[in-house]
Amino acid sequence: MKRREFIRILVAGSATLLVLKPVKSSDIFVYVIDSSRCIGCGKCVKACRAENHVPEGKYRTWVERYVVYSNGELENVYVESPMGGEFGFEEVDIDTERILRAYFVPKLCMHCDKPPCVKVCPVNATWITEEGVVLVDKSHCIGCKYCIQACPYGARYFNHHEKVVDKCTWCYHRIMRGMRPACVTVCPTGARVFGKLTDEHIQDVLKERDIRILKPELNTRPKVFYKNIGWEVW
Amino acid sequence: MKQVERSLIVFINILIIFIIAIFGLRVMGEEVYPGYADRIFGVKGIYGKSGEEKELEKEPIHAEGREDCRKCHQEIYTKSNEGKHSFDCQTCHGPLGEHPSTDMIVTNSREFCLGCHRSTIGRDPAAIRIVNNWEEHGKGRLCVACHDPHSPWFD
Amino acid sequence: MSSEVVEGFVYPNHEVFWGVLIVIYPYLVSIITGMVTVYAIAEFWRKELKDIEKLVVISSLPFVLSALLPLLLDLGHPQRAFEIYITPNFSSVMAVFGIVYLTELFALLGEMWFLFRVDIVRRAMNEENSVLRLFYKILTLGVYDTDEEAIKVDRKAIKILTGVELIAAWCLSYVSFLFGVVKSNPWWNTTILPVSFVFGGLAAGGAMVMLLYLLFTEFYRVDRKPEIISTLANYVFYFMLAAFALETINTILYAYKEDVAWAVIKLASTQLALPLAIQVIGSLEALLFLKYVCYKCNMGKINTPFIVIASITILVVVFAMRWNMVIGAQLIDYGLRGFVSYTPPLWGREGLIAALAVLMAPLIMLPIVAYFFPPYEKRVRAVL
Repeated sequence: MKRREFIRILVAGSATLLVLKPVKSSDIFVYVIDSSRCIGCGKCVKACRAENHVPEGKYRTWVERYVVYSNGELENVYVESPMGGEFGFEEVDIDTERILRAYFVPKLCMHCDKPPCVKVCPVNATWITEEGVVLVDKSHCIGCKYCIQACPYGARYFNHHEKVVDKCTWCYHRIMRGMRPACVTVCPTGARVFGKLTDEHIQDVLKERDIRILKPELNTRPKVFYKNIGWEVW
Repeated sequence: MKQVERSLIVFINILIIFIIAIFGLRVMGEEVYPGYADRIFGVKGIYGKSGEEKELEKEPIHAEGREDCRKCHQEIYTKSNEGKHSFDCQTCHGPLGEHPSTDMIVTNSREFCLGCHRSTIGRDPAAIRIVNNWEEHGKGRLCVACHDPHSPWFD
Repeated sequence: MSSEVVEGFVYPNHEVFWGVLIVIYPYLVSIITGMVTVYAIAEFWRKELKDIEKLVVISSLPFVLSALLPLLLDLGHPQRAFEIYITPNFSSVMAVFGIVYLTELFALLGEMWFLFRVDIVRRAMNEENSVLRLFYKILTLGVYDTDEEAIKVDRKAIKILTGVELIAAWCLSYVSFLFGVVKSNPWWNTTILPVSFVFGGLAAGGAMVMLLYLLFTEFYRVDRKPEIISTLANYVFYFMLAAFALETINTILYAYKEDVAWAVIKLASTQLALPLAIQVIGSLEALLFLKYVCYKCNMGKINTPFIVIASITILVVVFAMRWNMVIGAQLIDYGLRGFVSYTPPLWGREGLIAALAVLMAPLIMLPIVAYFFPPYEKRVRAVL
């Protein structure tokens, strides 16, 4: 009797140890980007820089332009992001007749459900919150830059003044106060949509079939979804 | 065998000291480590809080949206709400910041308007009204001379 | 900035984040692995290498101690480095490395103590300088018996510690996992990388032992034994062959498969023309020289210049391999559409001068360690 009880406690104890990972609520945040609505004005990049004091030359969010053209051969892809798209886009030296499709793609931290950056941090300075947001603790980060290497989306940057790694937080200080992220607030065309997974306007978008995530083969399970982008975006 | 015992005792003592140091520092919290080490090196940090709390200490610079501006600028609010420029005020006016005490600056240059309305490769005409002949259209004049930025008209 | 875009589209945040220091770090670690493995070979299999075991042990200590230097210099906040032990994240390779490193350090120190115990006891009793005598007296830990029985126990303890050390050293080569687990970088994300890394390290460590053997025998005026050189050269030859073959196979496989990343890797390797050339030509040259050295030694002759050339070549080649792996992979952007260039700055914490200092650190520490624990009795040549 005594031994059985002991075994039960042991099993229960190890079970709780295994499930120590915080249970994520269903109220996780989701970000949807409609590429066809993005006009590449760069207001989001500017707003982000002001809101989060992002240092010069570093980007928490940036806008890329994809131009797919053909000179008779199979598709060529031209990608650019001058100054992260902060000051808009110049003309490109491609004949308009030859362009098959062209569009802007805003990029930011994907706040993956299985973040490779969190997995490699040696000191637990970066973690995923209950709301599904991946954060960095600046007063804990030792600056080893390992998480930057692990991020397949190039979303993390090294802050050379504070000598720590920094990244998009989806404006955690705003969304927890019931506001939207700065980039979403200022977007004039509504290309950026933000909300909880259970929100109606998010559910509507997610029910559509042409929704995509970036680099699905890496199994990072991003929480940023893209609409109306081509195969060439990754 | 005596030397093995002695060396093991030394090793175990080092190990115990090491483990005590680790757990001691953990218990004392991050005010002590990395707090003290950082202060010696002149690094300012925020210690003794959960990471989420540290992140929440930041104050938003951008206001949530149009509704905040409405409190004082009701007239412009209603005007822009009816027009095409019904997006957030801070898109053009910049972050609210400490607004009532500091001025909000907005440029009314042609370049500023054309930043969005010029025709560019990749810009979808369905998403925004594009001025195709922007080099000729209203040449030499400001856009705001004819178009009210809060409620621009279209032909 | 030391890195700038050369061609194509690069994510705006992309830089070469790990510079020349992180090249040196796996380099030093792999040299440790090689030296410890040579020691284990001497301990377990090849009795003719018994002569150099003290030499190998005292020279691995400075390398183990200085392996931390490049890491600390590279960190943004080195004063927080101890956090790796306080709040470790065990799913991180880097945190696990901290524990493996300590195991290695303590195993090595223990081994050194047992190996030099007889010497320590002797010097604790006979040393003329009173400060040194006190130092050795503390080191004896109060155990003074050096009879047959005690020495037998010592040998047993050394055997066990060597086993622990060997495992720890190979796990230290586990730092290549640091790169191997980064799935976002196609250059690093190969199964063969940790294996080729270990073999490169074994070759470099063996070459370092050969060089140090020449140096120490010169300094202590001990006769060189051809069979030691021959055995070492033979091992280094096969390790180098394996490392070279694995690297080559990896490249050929990658070129043949031609996936999305290959196009940009091919272009980015133009930035690495020099280290790649060193890697290929140097490997072949070193292999040739080593075989010749073996051949000569089997005939009882020691061809010192050739040994020196071969060992230095291997050390340079392995450094070039690490450079290609660490810097080369970071040149390509994770968007796989462009690459950057990298020239390390001369000054500063991550500069070439600092790197050189780190590389020299073990060699500067070595005479100090050798002063306290001489591997050989200094034979005084009669000066008339």
